[in-house]
Amino acid sequence: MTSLLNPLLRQAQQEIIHHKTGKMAVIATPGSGKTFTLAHLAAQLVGKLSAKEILNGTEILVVTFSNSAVYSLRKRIRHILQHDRDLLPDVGYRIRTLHGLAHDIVRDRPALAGLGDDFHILDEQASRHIIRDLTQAAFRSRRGEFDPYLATGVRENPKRFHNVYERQLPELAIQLCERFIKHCKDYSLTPGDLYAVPDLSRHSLLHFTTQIYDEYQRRLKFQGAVDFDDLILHALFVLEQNADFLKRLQKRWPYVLEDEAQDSSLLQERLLRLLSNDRNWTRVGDPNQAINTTFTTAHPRYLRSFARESNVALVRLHQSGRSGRPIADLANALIKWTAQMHPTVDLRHTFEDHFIQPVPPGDPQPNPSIGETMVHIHYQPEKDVSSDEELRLVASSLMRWLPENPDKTAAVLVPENRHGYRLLDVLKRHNIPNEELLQTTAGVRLIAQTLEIVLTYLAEPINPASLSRVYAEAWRKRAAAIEQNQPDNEQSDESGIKTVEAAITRCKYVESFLWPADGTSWTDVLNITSLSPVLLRDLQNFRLHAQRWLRAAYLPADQLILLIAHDLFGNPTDLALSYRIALSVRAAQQAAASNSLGFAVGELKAIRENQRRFLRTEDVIEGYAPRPGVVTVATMHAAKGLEWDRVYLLSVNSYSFPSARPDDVYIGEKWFVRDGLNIEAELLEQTSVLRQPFDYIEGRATQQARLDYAAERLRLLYVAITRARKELIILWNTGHYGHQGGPFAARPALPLIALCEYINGTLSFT
Amino acid sequence: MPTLPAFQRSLFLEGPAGSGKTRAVIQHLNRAIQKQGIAPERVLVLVPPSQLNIPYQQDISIPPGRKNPLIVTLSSFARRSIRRFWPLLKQVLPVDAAVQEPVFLTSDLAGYYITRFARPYLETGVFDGVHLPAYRIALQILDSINNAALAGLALDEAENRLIHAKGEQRDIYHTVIRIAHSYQNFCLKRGLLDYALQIRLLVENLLDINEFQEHFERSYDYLAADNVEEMGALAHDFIFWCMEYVHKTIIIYDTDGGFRTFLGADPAHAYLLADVCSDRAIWEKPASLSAGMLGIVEIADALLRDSPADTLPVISGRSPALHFVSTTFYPQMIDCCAAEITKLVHQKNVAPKRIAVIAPYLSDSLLFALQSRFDSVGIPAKSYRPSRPLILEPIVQAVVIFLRLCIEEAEARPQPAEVSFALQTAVEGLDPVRAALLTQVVYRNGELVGLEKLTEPVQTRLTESICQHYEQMFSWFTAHQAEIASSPPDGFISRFAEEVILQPGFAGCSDVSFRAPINNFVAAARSFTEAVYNGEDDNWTEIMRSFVRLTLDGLVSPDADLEPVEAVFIGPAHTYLTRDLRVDYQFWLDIGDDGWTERIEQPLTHPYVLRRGFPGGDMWTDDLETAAQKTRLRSLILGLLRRCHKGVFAAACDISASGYEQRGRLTFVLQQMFDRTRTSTP
Repeated sequence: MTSLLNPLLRQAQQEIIHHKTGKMAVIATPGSGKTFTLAHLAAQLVGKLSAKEILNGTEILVVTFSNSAVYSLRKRIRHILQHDRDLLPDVGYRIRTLHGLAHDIVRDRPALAGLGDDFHILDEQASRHIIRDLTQAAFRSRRGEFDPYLATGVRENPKRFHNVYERQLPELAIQLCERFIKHCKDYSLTPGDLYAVPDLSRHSLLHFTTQIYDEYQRRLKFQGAVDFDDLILHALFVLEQNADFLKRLQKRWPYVLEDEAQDSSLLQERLLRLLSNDRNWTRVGDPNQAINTTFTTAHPRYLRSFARESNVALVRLHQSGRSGRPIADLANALIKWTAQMHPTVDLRHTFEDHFIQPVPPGDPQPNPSIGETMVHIHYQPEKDVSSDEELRLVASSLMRWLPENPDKTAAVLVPENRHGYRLLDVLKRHNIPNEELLQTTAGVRLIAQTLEIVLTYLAEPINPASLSRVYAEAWRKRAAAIEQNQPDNEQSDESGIKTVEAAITRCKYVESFLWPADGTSWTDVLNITSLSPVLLRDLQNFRLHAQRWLRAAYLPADQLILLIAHDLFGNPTDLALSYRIALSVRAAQQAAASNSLGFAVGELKAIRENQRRFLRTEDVIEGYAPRPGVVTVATMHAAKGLEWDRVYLLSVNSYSFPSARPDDVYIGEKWFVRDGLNIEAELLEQTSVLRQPFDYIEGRATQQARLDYAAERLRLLYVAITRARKELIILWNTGHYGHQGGPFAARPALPLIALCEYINGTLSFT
Repeated sequence: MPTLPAFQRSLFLEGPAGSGKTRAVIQHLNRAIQKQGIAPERVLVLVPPSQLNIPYQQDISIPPGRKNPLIVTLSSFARRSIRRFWPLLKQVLPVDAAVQEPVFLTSDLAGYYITRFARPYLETGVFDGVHLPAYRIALQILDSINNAALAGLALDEAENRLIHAKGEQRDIYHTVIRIAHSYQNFCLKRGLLDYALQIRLLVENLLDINEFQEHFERSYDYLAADNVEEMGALAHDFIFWCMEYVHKTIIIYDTDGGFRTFLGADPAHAYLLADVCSDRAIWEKPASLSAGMLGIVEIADALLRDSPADTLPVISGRSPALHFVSTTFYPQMIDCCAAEITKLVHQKNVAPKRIAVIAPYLSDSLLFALQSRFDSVGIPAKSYRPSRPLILEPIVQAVVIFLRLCIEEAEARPQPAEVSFALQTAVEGLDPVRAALLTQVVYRNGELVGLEKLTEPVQTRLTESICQHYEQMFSWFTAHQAEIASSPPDGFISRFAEEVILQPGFAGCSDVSFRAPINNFVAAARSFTEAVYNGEDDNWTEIMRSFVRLTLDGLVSPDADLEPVEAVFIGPAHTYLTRDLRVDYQFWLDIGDDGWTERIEQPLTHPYVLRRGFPGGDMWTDDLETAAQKTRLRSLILGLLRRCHKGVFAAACDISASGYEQRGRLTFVLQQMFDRTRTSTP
């Protein structure tokens, strides 16, 4: 066993892992090794558990924010236990997200929450399906309830009116209901509580969404299901109502460690306070990196006030070896500018005065030298950069940089997924190697597309063109992948494949190709004379598989997808992805109470079109690790916790990073809603009357939402800046509607201008 | 093989699974029959409901000209006796005079009736805090009724216990028992006897009737009660009663058993029978396990007893019989296990029936994934799922679609894809593409039409024989559809099956595997009709509609399939254990799943609280829950290990099918076990 004085740990980190008992808050700057320290602390505590405690299932409980954080923490703790401490790698601790933890608690005693032992959990998309169904149905007959919120100009233009009523408003209604239900659950508000609001029907939107919420809960009950948010409520309920169960869990988890505590929500804090019994609870986080607060109850204030509690030991990790000095200075400058000079005074409290300091000489993780560090902000006053131009600039910069820096890592970080997908197209056109950390990865999309093609045919089996597509785009792709891996593969017979594809499309009667009647041969049906024996064998094989899939088409969608995937995909990652796609489609079917193949096809299409969220399967194994020579394209949110040698930040404009100024445009304020109201914020504000006695004043929530959003985006910019180790390049663009000019064009974000001035030496702080 | 010790009037024999108890009892009975002249028909063998009767049926030797012993479960003995003594029973029960014969309700039918009684209460909001679908609420009420019956508790006592055990849900349990009372009164009045009423009437009424006592005394000399730990207290009462009347009694108790606790088994109460036996024998070790497996059992036993870590045994000098299959993803785990099984069967010549794949739950997806992997390597495999709904059988699905065409209103008629599937399943040789084409031609506005207007090219495409068989089926429907309104559902379905589905040209004629589901479906329709038909109402269409809906809801299941086959067993642990199966190799799938450690409680019932020995008025605390779970885990692990002769493959995947990290207690125990076997592996 190694010494407890681990030479890899800095002094403040040593202090943390030697903390004996009680509550502790660790406030850490980016790159200061908070997760690394937390992993050591967890391993240290596991090492202290006696053999008997281990046998009785006592564990150190670690709670973190995302699944990928779970996997990366687990990897670290396993490594320390196995290699540094010679202990069993998987025993004595449990790492969970909040939902995972709630799931464990409820699973242990489901009956206490009124659940059967086989209750199932609706994933996000299944839950969205139900809300979408219910809202669409209600909207058709009650769309008049939205009228009071429409801008006056909407009715005057029939084309615009039609567009709003048929497309934009129904989508907004769905989004409102989704957020509303989540919000109510965050505040433990039941439909019954909402029905008790005096004059509920006077608030037309609140009334509408409350009814959807009520019907949604009934639908869940009918299915014996709970959604993610219910899980947390149920967990809290059973712990608050059953003292002896709580006591058992407190005994099972004598230490509670919480990572990313700046993103902790009201419910998470309540739950962990109960479980830790307010004793051994360590919360690690950085309030300056809180980037998940909009329309959630997550807020860095919980961590801040915890740190101020009298019996909490506060440790600050300032020193960070990640970035070169100019980059760290730029991040610190953002904090100072916001605190001292932000034109919106209410935003000056966005950050905590907690600055990044370089590590002392001799540190195991030294900062990159000033010589190898570079910061560039691509901004010239009065010179606009269009969205396309920004992407071109990045592509040409990368084409120059990559060959010169084959051993370095690079990332392009974007505020939203959509811009990332556009960038991917540009990188692809320029043959720049890349991988993505966006909502849905290329792997998922490709698999979903292949399955969609096959299921589309199975839903309409007499369509030859559809069968031909299965051959060309599903079957042959698989065959090509296999042939590629064979050492003595011959050049694939492209013209022969085209011939077959055309012949199947021409084939008038599919049945005579797949199941020829007595006396006829399928080759005659296709009327192909010269086909290589290899391709002929392959075509015969394709026929047999098509027959098999057709015969299996009656199976539930998940089973059908698994069967097809097994025939088409060889490697375990693809199969695992197919498995998850299959389950996701099945869950959506159950939620929508539809077993039709057409529905499954629609769901696959939605996955292909990036409307569904899938975790990268490979990250589940190892956690994402950037590779030299391959450009990572990621959202700024997804980049948290990662670092690259060179980082480009895109779209740092007034749309993605507004400053709560009157002329800013906000994603939450729809053009067709009157008075610039953020209808979502207003709706959620209306529920507040249940929590605190005050009168609802229209417009106030919209103002607050602007401030909250602007503050969160400032923190997001801070997170994005601190991803860079050596080189940081910041760009902006005029946005999606920039070509229209005027109020539609985005401007450079105010912090971008300020940071540019700071670099140029025209701005300084006290 | 061990033999039974000599005993006076009664013997209580206890020992772990695999110690040879049942074989010893059979040997003893054979000797008594052969050498002491005991008449086999005067032997009563009482077994819990499962496959446990098979060794007795197969291995008791019957001398020529003699009858078989009676090998029964408590409920089947109750049904025989109730039928025989019904006129006497009727005199002491509140049964309508018009009821001539009792009707024994299957669990499906009991579910059907209890749902009717529960429905009005669901509207009142009393069950709002229970997050279960309506039918599950009803089934849990039925569970409470059955558990109370098995423990011999009055319904009011059950209510009292549930209220105190669960704390603040007085209204809910009061309602549960109100529903139970109304349901039971209704059933009794009409002579509809569900499981609870059957066993209650036997033990609480029949045993007191002189004629029955005399009949019993005249009929039996010998009683063998096997696996009494899998029976409820009421069964133990019955055994105790029998002991007064027979000359010899042998009671077998499986140590660490109790796998039917969920269904009301009460091992602790069973153990009390030891005190009323004249003799007692304890057998310590499973006799048939390999040395490697014995070592594993020993470690597991010590670990699960909470023995201090330094006293735990380690395996030395033996090759471990416990193997870990560890993967990241779920499909990989299935692939790895299938590959190991393929190796065992094809390379090591292990017979498929000597292998079992055991999972906490047997979902359709898992079953399908496994089955298709086995199919591809030519290994026969058979899944065993308790109560697999009949609607999952393709031929039943097809018949139901045809029935829906006859009885449903226009908006509820099947979709074209469903009709296409039904045609493809029913008509022999009809491929899916031609089925889609045929559907396009004959399915118009929710109705099937004839082929009179078929053009020649389409007829050629469909082939002459398909067209002919479709016409045959269509003519049958045209001629007989109206009979749905005038004949009972089972009659109509059975006629359709015999005159169409089983005829040449149709699937049931050539594919014999279709016959069992069809027969089961007809039998289910018959039971449903018998129970539901009140002798006055002749609205058969409505009865058919109810039956079809019940089937579609998955509430119609065949009787358990008890036939052992030459195939790999795929099933849940519970099924494996209650059937008391033995194999050479077990594959435990997904050991991280929480489902391995069963939860005791349900929102509306509680098998432990409704056990006879549970102190009425006590709370069901978390400590009790934890202790019960621990006992369950112990009995599960030891139960499986003692029923495996050569080796266990424990398969884990980091990420479950639904994307969760796996952390169940079974993984944890197995890791400890593995650590203790690995330490000493050279």
